[in-house]
Amino acid sequence: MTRRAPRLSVLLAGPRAGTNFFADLLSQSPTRVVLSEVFNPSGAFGLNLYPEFSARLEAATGGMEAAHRLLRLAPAEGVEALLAALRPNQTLLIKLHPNQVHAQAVRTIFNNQKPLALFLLRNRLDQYASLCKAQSSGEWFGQDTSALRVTAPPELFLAWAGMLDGWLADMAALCEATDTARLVLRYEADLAQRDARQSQLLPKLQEAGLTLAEADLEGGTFFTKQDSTADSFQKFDNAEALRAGLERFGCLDYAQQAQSLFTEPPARQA
Amino acid sequence: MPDLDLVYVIDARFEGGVSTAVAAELHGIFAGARPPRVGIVLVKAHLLRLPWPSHPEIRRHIDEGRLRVVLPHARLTAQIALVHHPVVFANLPRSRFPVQADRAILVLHHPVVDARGNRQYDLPKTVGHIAASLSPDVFVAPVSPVVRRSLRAAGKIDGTVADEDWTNLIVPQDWPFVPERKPPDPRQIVVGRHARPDRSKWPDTFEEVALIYGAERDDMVVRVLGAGPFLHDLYGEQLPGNWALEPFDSDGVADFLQGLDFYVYYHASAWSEAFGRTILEALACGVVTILPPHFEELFGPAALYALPEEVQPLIDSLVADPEAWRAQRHVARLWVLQNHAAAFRASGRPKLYGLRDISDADAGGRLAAPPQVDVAPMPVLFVSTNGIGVGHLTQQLAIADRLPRDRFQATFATMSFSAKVAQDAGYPVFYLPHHRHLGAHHEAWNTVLAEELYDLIRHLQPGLLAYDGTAVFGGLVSVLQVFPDLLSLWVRRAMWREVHRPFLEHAGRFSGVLEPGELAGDLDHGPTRDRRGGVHVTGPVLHIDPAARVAREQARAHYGLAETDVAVALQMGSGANFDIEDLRLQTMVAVLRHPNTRILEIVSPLAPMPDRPEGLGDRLIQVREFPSFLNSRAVDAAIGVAGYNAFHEQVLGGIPTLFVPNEAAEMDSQLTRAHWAEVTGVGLCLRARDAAARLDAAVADLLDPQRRSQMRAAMAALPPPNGAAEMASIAADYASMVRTDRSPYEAYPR
Repeated sequence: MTRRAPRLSVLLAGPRAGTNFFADLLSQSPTRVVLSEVFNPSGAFGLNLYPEFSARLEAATGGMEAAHRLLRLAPAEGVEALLAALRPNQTLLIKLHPNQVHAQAVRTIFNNQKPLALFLLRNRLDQYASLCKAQSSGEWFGQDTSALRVTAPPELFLAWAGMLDGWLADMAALCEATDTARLVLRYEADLAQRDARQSQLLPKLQEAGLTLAEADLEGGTFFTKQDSTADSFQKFDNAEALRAGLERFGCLDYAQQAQSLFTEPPARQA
Repeated sequence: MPDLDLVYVIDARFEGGVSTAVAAELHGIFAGARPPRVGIVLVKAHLLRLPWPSHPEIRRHIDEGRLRVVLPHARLTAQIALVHHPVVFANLPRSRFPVQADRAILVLHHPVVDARGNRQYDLPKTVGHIAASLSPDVFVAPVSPVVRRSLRAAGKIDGTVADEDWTNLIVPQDWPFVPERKPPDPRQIVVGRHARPDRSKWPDTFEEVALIYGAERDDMVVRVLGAGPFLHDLYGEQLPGNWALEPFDSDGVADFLQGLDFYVYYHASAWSEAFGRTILEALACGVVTILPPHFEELFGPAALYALPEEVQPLIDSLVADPEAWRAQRHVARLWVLQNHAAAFRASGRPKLYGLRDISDADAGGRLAAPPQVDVAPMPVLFVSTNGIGVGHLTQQLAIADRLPRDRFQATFATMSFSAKVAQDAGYPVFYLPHHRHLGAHHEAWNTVLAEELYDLIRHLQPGLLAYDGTAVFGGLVSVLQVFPDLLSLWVRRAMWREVHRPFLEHAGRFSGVLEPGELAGDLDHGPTRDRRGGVHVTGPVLHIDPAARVAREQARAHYGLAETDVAVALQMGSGANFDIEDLRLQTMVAVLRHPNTRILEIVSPLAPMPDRPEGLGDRLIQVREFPSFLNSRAVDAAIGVAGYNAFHEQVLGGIPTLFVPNEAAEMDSQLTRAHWAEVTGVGLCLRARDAAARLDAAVADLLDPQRRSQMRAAMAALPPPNGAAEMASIAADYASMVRTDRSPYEAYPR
């Protein structure tokens, strides 16, 4: 059964899981306001794409800086302000990364707004490579970084992966505790290739109440796949040391997999 | 824009896990690409009554310019305040808090109640104090599920309890992991534990501890880091023979852990361990760790869990199975990496609670614009006695010269006739005449002294009064009583004579007592020796660091010494209570009897320029200069008294010296120092009463090149002096402290 379009969707993912591309796909709908990182400590990103929406938000909050401050210090109230700035026929999608909003505020948002929680997961090592490449090159989108190789000390990767695993697990537990509808998407299986988007993503979104036209599966073309290297280890200039280090900890498979959330069938599937 | 992004509010003198956790967190924050601007409010909480220095790693962040100390009279704003440990706000601050924050996060490092249900602190009251003085928006963040559970007993608080635990973080690279470490040798299994020296950190009974740690085993050594006399109080005089006891130390712990096959930690039944920082450190090093079962919720698969009677069989089974032992080591390290590494967590955590990236700090974490540029330096009032010489004043100068000038303004009030040396060094100086110089009656003089000090304090409003002297005068005591919120430190040397013992009773009048280290401390038998329980002893204090002294060639040129000259410094003090005239002349004769010798007579700032004996020509150079040790590399040997400053400047400055102790009754025991120097081979000792018989021989000994070479070698083996810097950092910390250690009960008249 197809769910009614959720007024609020929250996209939960670690950085470089493909959220920009995914958000770009969904933003093709004229009735959907798809914001980038409104909770980012550096600024409420994405609002500039929706001038009318932003103007209403600024009018309600006292300006962009005040809106950012509200979203940072009182995220649940900030989300209420965002929803209040929508036109009646519009829906909202916001992104949430680790270290942006504390769990109690997320709990309040889940409880008060009954959103759809979208989890986007990706092979840990590829995701980390993408993050390192973006940090190293300063190119966060729109550039082919296939030729770039980065160094990843195995222990640093494991620390990063542990942090991300912990946050995703906490968010999943919050979903369960608040009986929040959720949809788990996997970058490799659902998003990376157009065929997969058509065969996997579309039906899942449809079922969750998020409509997407087939014609929009290419997205706005602004966000493209930046790295075409197939072998995860070949993205690193210390591939052998990285492999050996992970093997020593018994983490080779772990590194090349995404997280596994919601091991039990969800009580209320989206 | 707020003046600061983050401000830590902490009693940085905590020696245990709290400060270590904060230091690791700071490391993670400053390692980020765009570190926030971070300040620290140093709080004097009620728990620590001793003048401990700040945690060395926190101090390092301060000294290297990443962490800005917020002075008590500043008026700053911050985005987020991190209050570490509720004890910090057990009482309202004694003055207006120097920072106002958008939000405060109170990190609970300790359960509200212990295992027996005894309340450890009043959380609603603590939160109320924070809301009233720092930020109305208070979040409470427990460090572990243990602390979170204890909140049930806390009562209603006017704040929000965070869902996330504020977990202890660690910098893994500081805790090296050797993947292929040799498995345990069944003939000598090394077990260890590390905890601060407190009986609550140990099992209740000897029977229990013997069972856990294999007291009867001769194939096992148990290394204890954090031992102390309390173990005998707890378990009796006879401790197990396989225990190797070492005092608590936060330095060198990683090396200690590297040497262990197993880390085994069990504590008292009444103790409720909030987390277990030392356990985390052991796990980070990959030490196979065995704990009581209740720790499993904190350390999961990283450790092994056993009842007391199961510990030894578990150890034996792992010794017999090196592969299982090795696998457990990797599990421990991996778990620490994935759950407690500072990277990716430390800098992110404050962002969870609203921290915005508005920093203009550069990538190295240094503050691009110090937030308190408009804050006037905090006055520090140095008060010293000194009827005889210049020693106390010199020691205070050693501290004052090392205080950061942009943050502190040292002002001197001294009874020394040599007050001008402080003035010449650029400090405001107020002269307080000693009663002996006035011939004044004690009572009247103390009244006047109190009035003078009262006016000074009222006028300067110092952050700290630092007193240096043996005698604690009634006038000083009175004025400290009038200003009970004024922090004060008494710098008091060792080597006291018995006649000074009554002054020890005044130690409680000061916020803390510091003792400059004595090289000859082992021989000290004076009244202070057994009263060090509440005293912090630093390394020896030098006014002029050896490394800062003028190079030999330049120094010799300064005095006009030729390359072939054997220069002997002669420094006999002021002569105020030690008749030196005859000895001076005899010494000169004895020295100049040796070929190529020249005497550099350094005259005390207090003494008149002495007569030049006839016929010495340019073989006697007389100078009056301060500080006299700046050019000490010019001389080949020295002869002089053994006052604290001269003795330590000579010995630690590497100058072969014949010490002639001033044995006047009111002086500290110079003889002890001089005797120690002779016994340990770093110098020579000649008592004035023996001069007639031994002076020539002693001088000949001093001028023997081989003998001097031996002395230099012995002096070079001494640890480098660091007492002045340590004293200065403690003085700086105390002058920066906001007090919450005084409850209203003791602060107001009743």
